[in-house]
Amino acid sequence: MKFKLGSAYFAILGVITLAFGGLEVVTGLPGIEGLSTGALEIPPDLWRGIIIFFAGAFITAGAFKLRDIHGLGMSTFGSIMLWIIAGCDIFTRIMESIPNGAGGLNSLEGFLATYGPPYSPALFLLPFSLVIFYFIKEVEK
Amino acid sequence: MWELLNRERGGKRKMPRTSLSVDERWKLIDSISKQVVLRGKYKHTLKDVISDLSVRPMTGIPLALAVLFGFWAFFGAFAGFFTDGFAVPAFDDHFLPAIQRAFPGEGGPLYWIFVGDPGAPSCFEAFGVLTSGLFVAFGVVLPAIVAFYLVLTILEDTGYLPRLAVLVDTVFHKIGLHGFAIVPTILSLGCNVPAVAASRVLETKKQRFMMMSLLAVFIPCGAQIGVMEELLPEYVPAILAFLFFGYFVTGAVLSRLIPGRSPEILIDVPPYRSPIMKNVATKTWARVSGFIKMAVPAVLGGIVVVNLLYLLGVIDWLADALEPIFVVWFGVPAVTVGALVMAFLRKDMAVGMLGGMAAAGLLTTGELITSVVLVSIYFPCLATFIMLWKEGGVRDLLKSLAILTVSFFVFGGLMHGIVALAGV
Amino acid sequence: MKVGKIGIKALVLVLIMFYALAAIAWVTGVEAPEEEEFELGEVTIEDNGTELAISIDEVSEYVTEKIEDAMGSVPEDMEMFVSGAYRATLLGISEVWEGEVPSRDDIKIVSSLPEPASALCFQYITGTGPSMENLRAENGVFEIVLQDGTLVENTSVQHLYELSKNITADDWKFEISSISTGESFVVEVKGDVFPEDFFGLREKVVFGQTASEKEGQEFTWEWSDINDGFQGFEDYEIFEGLEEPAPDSATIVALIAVILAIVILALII
Repeated sequence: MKFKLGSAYFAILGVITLAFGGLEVVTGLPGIEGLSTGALEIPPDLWRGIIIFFAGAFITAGAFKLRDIHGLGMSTFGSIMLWIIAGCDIFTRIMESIPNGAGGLNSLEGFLATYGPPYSPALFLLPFSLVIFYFIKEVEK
Repeated sequence: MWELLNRERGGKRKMPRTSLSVDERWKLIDSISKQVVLRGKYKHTLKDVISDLSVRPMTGIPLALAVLFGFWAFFGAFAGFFTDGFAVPAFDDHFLPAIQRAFPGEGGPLYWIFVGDPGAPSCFEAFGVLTSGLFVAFGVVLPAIVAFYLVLTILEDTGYLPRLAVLVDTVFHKIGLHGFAIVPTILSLGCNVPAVAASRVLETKKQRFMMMSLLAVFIPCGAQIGVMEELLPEYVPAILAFLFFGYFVTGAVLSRLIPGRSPEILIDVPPYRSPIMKNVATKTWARVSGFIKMAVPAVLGGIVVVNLLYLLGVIDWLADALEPIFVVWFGVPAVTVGALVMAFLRKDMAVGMLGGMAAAGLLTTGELITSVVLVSIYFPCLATFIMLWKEGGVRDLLKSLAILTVSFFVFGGLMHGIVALAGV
Repeated sequence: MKVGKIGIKALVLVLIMFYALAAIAWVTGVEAPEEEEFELGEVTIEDNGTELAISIDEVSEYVTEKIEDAMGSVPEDMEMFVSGAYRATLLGISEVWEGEVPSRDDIKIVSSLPEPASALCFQYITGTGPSMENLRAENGVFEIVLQDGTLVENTSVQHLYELSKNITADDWKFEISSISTGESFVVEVKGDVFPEDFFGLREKVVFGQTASEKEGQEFTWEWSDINDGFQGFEDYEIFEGLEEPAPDSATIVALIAVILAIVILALII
């Protein structure tokens, strides 16, 4: 039952990831602007889009065989790609939050404001993708 | 052994033979292994699956793209943090005005050599030993090099680099090299000198010569990329893509022209493992400190030499002499000659000089892009030149320089055409 | 492996901290303080019922004209004195009248700085300057009282120019007060606005005629920087006794709460 739910979960997550990747590819094409709605921003970056698209594809492909080590491995592989993109976004924000652009340290408000919206899709998807660790532990048992 | 073989044959042979046929050898091997090897079903672990997926083209290439993206994003954020966040304001707003005022003999030759232009608003434009030299060496290049070597070391220690070599093996075979050539290529993105040394791992003279020539001509070093990122961040991916295009095209041509073999190499692909932070720190520090010891004196010395050549009028004479070629074939003004002279000593400073010229309105964006490409492909820096000499000898060095000259004109002209067509 | 576990723990903490900060930033809607370039406002006063907005350019024009008439030429650092006096007036008026527009005849300025350009600036604002009869209907009061209490009766340009030879950072003190209510505010320029030995260099360059070219260049750079500071820095950066505005307290409380929570989490994990 757990793995059936897990399969459904990762299938949905994979499809959503794939969709966001596709959107980033489209907005990354020359002449097309990025999309921004509320706290979500689709950055116009072809490279990122391709990576997230494939990440979504691998997560989805592995979702249907989650109990099998190869299926789990495929979903984990896709998650790793997503973590790389999200990790870069997080690292970039941390680096941007510290200096104030004039050679000194950022003010408290400036520091906090750097972490404010909008966020890329990878940042929204990252926490949901961490569920894979639960299934890795289950399979290893 | 003979008893074993005899038993296998049903005890028919009475006298031992002095040699075995091929079939007999294989039968002997089978029989020994049956007795000593335990066979069972190997259970794949998650690491094995991921390792396997990393080397298959359908899954491995997207992962390679992700890793390269991560490399690039980390490099940009890390170097940008130190350079744009602190070094640029500290040097341009505080250090530069102070030294412009404090250094005696404003306008004199010593002032020009050590401080540079007294009215320069930024360290990039000043071009003095104590201004541009210190700023480029410590404010721009050092963070870039630290970022590069940190990520490279982590990739090495996790075991990803050999997998990348397997992935790109087919591509490199097309140019007479093999996948492991990716390692010196990536190393060259940090500094050409250890990359040229790493070419020793290639088996034949042909492969080593090709590798060294391609690295010296087409792969910009981390210091140079750091300065390019500072000046032209939006064009750096396109410039690198163009250089890699040149790398592969020239490699394909050389592979057909240079006689010799391109054999396979067997390499060990280690399992994925977590990098040990202490090892990463030690290796990164060793590489960075080696780079600092080599690069900083070269940067400072290079500025002294180029400034002297400017003061003696040598650069102006060269610019006048070469102006027709520069303007017509490359589409850049003759002032870039100064940067090309500097590029022989330090490529990062040469790009910095071009940035200063662009800021002063002497170069358009298109001319800056073409000039940066010319600086990349025109001559290896002095340190690489010496390394090429040391590794390949005088004859190979001269051959590399001939390849360089042809590439310089071909790809420099091509860049001019692309920039003109793109309307940059 | 111990090191591997520490690495994962650190990663988890970084992730938790990032998302916590993101949540706070999103919920509180905090925005980065914009790099507002300080804008030099205008001195707004009322003169016989008519509201006047006096800009620094207007004052500079008047001061330049009067000094040229009196001395034939304008000292190179005049602009610095006008800027300093103008900023002091802006601050003093905002502190004493608290947003209300003062009447010109209610303004009293007592300056400790015996110097012609700053004096002419104060005289223009109070309407007590030379040849101001056609420019104002009412006038306030302006006096120069030295640090030792001496009232400077002769406020002519030449006399003040001579007195300005020996000025120091301590003389940059101005009292702006309301004649009707007696309320006053003392504006004192911070000592560190002026580089070390600036006034010694000034004496050498402006009065001594023995300064070298390098010293002359140095003086120009220094007074230009001070002038830029008077025209571009916040009040708390140039005047004594003022505090930098504190950041929004709600944001700080939320940030401290998150950091404490993460530290506790780190100890538990």
